[in-house]
Amino acid sequence: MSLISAYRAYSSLTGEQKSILKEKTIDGSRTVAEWIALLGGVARYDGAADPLRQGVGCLSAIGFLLAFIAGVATGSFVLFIVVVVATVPFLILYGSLRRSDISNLLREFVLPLLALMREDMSAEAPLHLKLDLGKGMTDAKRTDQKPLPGPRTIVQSSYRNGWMEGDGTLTDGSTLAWSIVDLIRERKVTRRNPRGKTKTKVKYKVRRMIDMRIGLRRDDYLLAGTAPKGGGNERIDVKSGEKRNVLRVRRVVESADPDAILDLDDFIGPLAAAYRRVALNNAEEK
Amino acid sequence: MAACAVKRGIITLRDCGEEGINTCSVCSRPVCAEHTRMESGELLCVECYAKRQEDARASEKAATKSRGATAKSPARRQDDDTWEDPSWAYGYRHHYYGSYGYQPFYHGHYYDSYYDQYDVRSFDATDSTAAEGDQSDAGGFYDS
Repeated sequence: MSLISAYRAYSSLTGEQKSILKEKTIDGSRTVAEWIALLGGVARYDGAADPLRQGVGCLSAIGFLLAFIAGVATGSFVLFIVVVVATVPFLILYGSLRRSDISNLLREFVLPLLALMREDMSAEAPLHLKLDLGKGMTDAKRTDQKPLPGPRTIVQSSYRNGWMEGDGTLTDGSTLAWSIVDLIRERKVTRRNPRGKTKTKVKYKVRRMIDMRIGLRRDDYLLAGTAPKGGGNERIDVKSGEKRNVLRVRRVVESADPDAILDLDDFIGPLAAAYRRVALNNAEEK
Repeated sequence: MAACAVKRGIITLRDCGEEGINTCSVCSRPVCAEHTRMESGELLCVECYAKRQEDARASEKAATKSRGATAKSPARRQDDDTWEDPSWAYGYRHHYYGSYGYQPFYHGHYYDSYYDQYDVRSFDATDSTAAEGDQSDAGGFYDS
């Protein structure tokens, strides 16, 4: 069933959506509704393909295991070949599904965020988005790799994955620009136990940095000058301009899972923190 | 009929701007077609509908917790397709204001007491005459 739904979802994609699956990067300006229409189809395909990929991967592994058992148990080379040949289509399908796999952040963070942005941006306002939906730990994103001294063999790799940038104007005239970068530290620890068996463990530490720049019009908002109440752990820098007060907010979210989904609260939090720092400029009648 | 009473926005609230063609059976406010939901034969505004959904999720979460299992917080459900329904954003808003005590700003002319629960911050100089005759239960324009 998931094969049919994945096929249907893929068939309904436009050329541009298929190209997003292939390239895994997006950079452009559209209205929020247009972004939702474009990325929604891609997300629906990814949602249908994910369970299918897992199922096909399992079937491929089982097929090769059966081929090995058939070959050894019966000693029949012909049976071995038949089972291998029967497994190959699954392997090809698995490879194809893997190549078109994109980060789950699209359907579990980006699209819900766009659904919220739809409320805070006017229908005609353009939103600039730059997304990298590929894997976070690739050679291109590796910034450092070194062995660590110690009794065990430890190789530490660092990655920098900037997977989202965006900017636009909110309905109250405020400007919002943000970027989200994952700094991933991977430690591969290899040790040999007394029986001579070698074991490798991989540990991750992820620092997800959410940076925002919010420009609030001085005609509408005054700096309150007090620390935000009920805010999170964000750092806020304020720069007063002639027309706007610009607040730079950074929130850091730490995790041990490089594939962790960013909670929307951790995105809305820094934005809300900026608005907590200001009061309405009642001197200016609207 | 009066203007739709539903306020758009998450960080700042503003008037919907459409004409109300239905009346919410819970809050009795006028509501436009886009912000109307039908549940069990009842016409609801999208905000009352979203609150019901959130409360149902909260009860479900409490029940799951009492069974000893772990569950995601109600509004953290980003992993299904519920965001596609515009009411999802209103549910999230209700969750965020309630969980973090955020007081949204209101930029508009048709404030009503429905939003007093969120301690909305609004302009003192809002044009109160604009609401006359449109909102039978229109509240104050000041911080509640």
